[in-house]
Amino acid sequence: MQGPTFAAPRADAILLDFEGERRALAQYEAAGGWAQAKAATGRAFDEIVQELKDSGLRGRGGAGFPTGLKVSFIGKGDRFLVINADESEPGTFKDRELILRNPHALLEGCVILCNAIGAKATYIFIRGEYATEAEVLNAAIEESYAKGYLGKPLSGTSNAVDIYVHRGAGAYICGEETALLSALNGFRGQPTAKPPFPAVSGAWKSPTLLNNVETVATVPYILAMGAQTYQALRTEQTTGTRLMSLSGNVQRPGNYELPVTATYRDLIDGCGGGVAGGRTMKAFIPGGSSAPILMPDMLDTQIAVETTAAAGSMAGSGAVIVIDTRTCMVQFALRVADFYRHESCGKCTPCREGTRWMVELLKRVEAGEATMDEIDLLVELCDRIEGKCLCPLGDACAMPVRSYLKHFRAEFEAHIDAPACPAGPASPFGALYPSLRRTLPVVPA
Amino acid sequence: MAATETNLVTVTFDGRELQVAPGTPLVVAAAEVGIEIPVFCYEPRLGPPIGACRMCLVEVEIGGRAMPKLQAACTMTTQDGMVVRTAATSAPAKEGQDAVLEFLLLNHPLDCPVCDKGGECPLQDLTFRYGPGTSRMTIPKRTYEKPLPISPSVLIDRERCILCYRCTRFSSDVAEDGELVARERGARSVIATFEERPYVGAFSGNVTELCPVGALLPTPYRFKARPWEIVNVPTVCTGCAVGCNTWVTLREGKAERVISRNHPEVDEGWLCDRGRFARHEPLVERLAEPLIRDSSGLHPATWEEATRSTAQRLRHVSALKGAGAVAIVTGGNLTNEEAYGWAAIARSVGARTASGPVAAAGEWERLDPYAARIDDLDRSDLIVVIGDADVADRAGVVDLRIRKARRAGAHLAIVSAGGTILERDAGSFVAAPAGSAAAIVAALAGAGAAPAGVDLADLGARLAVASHPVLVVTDPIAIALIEQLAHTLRLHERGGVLPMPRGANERGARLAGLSGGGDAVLAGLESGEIRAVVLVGLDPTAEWPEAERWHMALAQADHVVTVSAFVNSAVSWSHIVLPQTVDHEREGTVTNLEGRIQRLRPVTKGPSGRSDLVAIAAIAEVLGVPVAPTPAKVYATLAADLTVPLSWSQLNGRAPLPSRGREARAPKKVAAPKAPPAPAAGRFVLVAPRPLFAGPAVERTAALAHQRAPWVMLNHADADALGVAEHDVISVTHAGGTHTGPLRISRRLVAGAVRINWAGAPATGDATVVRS
Ligand SMILES: Cc1cc2nc3c(=O)[nH]c(=O)nc-3n(C[C@H](O)[C@H](O)[C@H](O)COP(=O)(O)O)c2cc1C
Ligand code: SF4
Ligand code: SF4
Ligand code: SF4
Ligand code: FES
Repeated sequence: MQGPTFAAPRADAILLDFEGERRALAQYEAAGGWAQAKAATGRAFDEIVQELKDSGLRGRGGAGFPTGLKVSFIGKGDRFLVINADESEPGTFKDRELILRNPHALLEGCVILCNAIGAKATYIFIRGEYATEAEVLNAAIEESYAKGYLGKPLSGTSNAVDIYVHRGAGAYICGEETALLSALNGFRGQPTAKPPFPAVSGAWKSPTLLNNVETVATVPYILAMGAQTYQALRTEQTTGTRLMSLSGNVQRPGNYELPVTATYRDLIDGCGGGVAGGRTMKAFIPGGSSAPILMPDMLDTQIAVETTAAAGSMAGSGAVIVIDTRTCMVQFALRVADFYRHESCGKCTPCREGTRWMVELLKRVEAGEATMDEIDLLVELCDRIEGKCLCPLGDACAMPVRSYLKHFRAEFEAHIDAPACPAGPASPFGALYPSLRRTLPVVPA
Repeated sequence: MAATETNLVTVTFDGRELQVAPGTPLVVAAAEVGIEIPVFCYEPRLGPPIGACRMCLVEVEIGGRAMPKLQAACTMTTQDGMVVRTAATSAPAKEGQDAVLEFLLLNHPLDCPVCDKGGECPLQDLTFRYGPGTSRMTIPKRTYEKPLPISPSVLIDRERCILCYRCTRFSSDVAEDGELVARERGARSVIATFEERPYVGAFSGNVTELCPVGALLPTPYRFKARPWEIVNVPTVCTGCAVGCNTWVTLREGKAERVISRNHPEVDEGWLCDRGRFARHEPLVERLAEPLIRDSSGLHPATWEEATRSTAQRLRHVSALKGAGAVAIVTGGNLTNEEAYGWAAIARSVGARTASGPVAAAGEWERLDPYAARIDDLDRSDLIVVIGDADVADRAGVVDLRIRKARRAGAHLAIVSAGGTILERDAGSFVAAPAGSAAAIVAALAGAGAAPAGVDLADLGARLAVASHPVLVVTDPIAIALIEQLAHTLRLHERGGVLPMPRGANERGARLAGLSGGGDAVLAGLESGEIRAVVLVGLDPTAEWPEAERWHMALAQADHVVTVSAFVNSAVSWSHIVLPQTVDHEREGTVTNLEGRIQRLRPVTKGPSGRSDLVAIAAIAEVLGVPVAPTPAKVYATLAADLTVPLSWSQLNGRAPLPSRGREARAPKKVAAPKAPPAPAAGRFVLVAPRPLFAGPAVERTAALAHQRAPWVMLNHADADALGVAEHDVISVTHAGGTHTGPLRISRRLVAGAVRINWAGAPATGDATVVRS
């Protein structure tokens, strides 16, 4: 079987600035790797926090929270570092490539942060389906123990760091930080009310710093080039590069590392070669399936956090999904809502009940059984879920569906009393819900 | 924690300003200004709020800035300057509330007309007060098979469940049994038992009260009554000496259900399954009329005949044989007033008395200067439990209170032969030989050596420094020994001892005048000194140690008068049998393990239709001693005699526990206890403390049959040596009989011991263990 091919890096790439597959320890060291972990042992907590603040680094897990500020919040006591490698937001597969190709950047980032906060252990919580990735990580961890980067203190510190890989059991919600920590602590993977925040009570109920894979893997590079250099590549509120996962109806799907100043057009047309098969773009999703949809007129938006927000959506996990004009938006909405219904943890009422209701209503629309009232009800359902749940998963279902209804309401209405889905068999999602395909009523002979 | 003026913050709810301690949940603070924020999942007794149901959404403004989203008023706490708008004044909050109720009802079957919860259902009530009148649902409802038993006493209807997680939190965070769990996720989430095994924890029934809908219902109450045709009578459980406050649900003259009447100082709203479920089934084998024996056997008699005959026989024996020829014996299964009446009778005929099997193990008043209250556990930093019996078996819900204290940071230290439930969660566990509680207590008091191989250094060090240690001794050892330890540890100055009497009103009976132990009475019967004996609510051949000796001794007595609710083995050699009432039929007071006097109210009438006190008064009258036939009058005399500072009417509602003097006197010197004899080769030391689920009422309750299923516990090494495995059926033969049940293997039960849940007469000594 042919292995995956990886896009050639751009000149300004940082995290994946090399070609080819996995970078082994020797190659990583040859490229200057692990030097920062050694150099940083002499630096005080405050200094590292300041460096991170100066770099302008924002979390890459979805919320875009300033990393330096988050590190500064860590509470007193036995501290832990937890890496969020649950990567389950539909369309997102960047952490996976990072782990497969540059695992030592993540491990070095872990050691730097652990030494800074005085944590003795890192838990990497990786989604259960990432079996190969967990193996690669474990192999890299073994290499690092053998070389003395892990398990004993680096010179200049008395802190020895251990890294454990913990495989999830297949739940999207375990990417949410409090659910992840519940699962890690041996409980049901469900979010918990905040406060207490992980910074106060996380792994083993101790103060915990929890960051995304990409966020932490960036840290050694920031220390290597200096915060000033890193942040020079910036928009107003976002700095550096992002790994963008491009998928959907696009010519060349894959991960592309782009500076945050790049636009969605740069990604989709420049890197991805435009819409597959020369077809026409209907809309695109800028930051994972929970992000509201954007119309093609927004393609020149920069991929940064604040620019994407200004365009009416969110940069989220950096997963861009291209939708071409063949796609039935009711089917698309159904597919997205059904994902969140399936992944709702069931703890809070609006998400648990609302997502199920939404899916059932969307099925009725697709099947031509719905009334106009029910389309209004769908919008109201979004209102009744959004902002009322315990964690953001409920919103993650309501926000995108609301955006589809806003931009494509006519398409929803066209389903009412239509003998068949107006998009016809060409719609890529039609095959997912064959039972909803209507056939013309059989007229008795 | 009382907030002082200075650390209060100002919060506004719907325009009403309030000074309140910072960090108070908004739902609680709002209630202080009379604003109801409806809740489903919020229940502070289950631990920190979880914010799951979202029923309590409110708009919050802090420092003039509105928070972007609605906030859950159960998890959000008060901060200075906070402005809160509930659904009453805020359109977004109202929308939130409407949304949640609509979502909750979406899949709810709305089968209120056939639901036992209907009429006392929070979902029904809140929907009525706040909810939508109609449903906009056009999709099919979620359905499940229903109802399903989660245990022999609790049924689940998953369609009605609103997934508030109260029940699973009770199981994991209060009872800590982990037996009730949520399975699946999202809209397919269901409440289930761990690996489909029945929920057999001793406190499972509490989930039926916690459930805010009709999803978890007590099986015995299914389809029994509707809320508008019942009366809930406030009374107290007499299943054990905790004295949990209860409501007994009365319908058409029958007690159909027991629920909690939450006394925060006693039970915090929990009941054990014995208190909740025992006595619900038809009370078979109840004695309905007095019986008198003639040469042809026992025959029905009138009350007049039976009470007169009793009095005459007691007087006759005492006149003929002198003081001490009569004995009046109880196990604590009677009210203070009844005990007072019997004590008056005893005095008039010079009778010996007993309120427990062993005199030395019943001198509870010795502990008075050191006595802890149940809620001392909440303040304790160290809880020491010594003994082979589980706390739950001695004092039901105290187990839950100890767990709560441990979760709050108290260190729980257990010294026992092992195999108890509580020890699984202890902070430290010291394995001690079976039956060595007395030796341990003496050793800690510096009055003897610790049993070989038992290291008490760590425990001693903890006891020395603890600021509020609470000591619990679960085995029946000499109280003077405990007193000595309490005195050594100066527990009159810090913490205290929680007494663990075995009879529900053993303390009260003793104080009312029935002091003394069964051991002396047994000896008196055997020597022939005692010729007449009255057994009040007690069958010593079934409930007390030395059953065989009691059996023989009673057979020799000239007159045996049994006061009993049920036909028991003592009845068969009694000369006179007086029917007794049981818990829900009694009026009077009982004294719990703390010494708290609480009121029992009659809910139903016993089959004999007569109160026990009336019969006692009739006997007393013949003997020429005045005993009033009404509990209130007797209580007044009793309270004056004992200088109890509470009047009858002050015992209404939740009874207080007046503080007592804590002046310690020099304790009585007691000889260091003898070590229990080692078993003969090839035999095992028997560990068989009386289980919580034992006794006539439990035996007659079908819903508790599973709790009585026998089991046998061995140490893993002993099991290996015997070549037996978990679940193998094992027979244990001891002096009291043979006990056969599936094997449970324990790593903590000491080697050489066998633990059984033997509900028969207390058995000690050694035993043989074989695979059957
Ligand atoms: C439903 C849900 C799923 C999430 N999944 C992930 C995920 O798979 N990976 C991730 O890094 N963050 C995920 N997050 C965000 C995390 O909660 C958290 O904000 C993030 O890991 C913090 O790391 P960062 O500051 O480095 O971004 C998710 C959040 C939500 C609400
Ligand atoms: S929003 Fe959904 S996923 Fe999050 S806690 Fe509520 S039910 Fe669980
Ligand atoms: S069964 Fe009752 S208590 Fe348990 S989650 Fe459902 S509604 Fe709540
Ligand atoms: S703990 Fe004792 S008093 Fe309380 S319900 Fe159980 S048996 Fe009754
Ligand atoms: S009562 Fe506040 S979320 Fe349930």
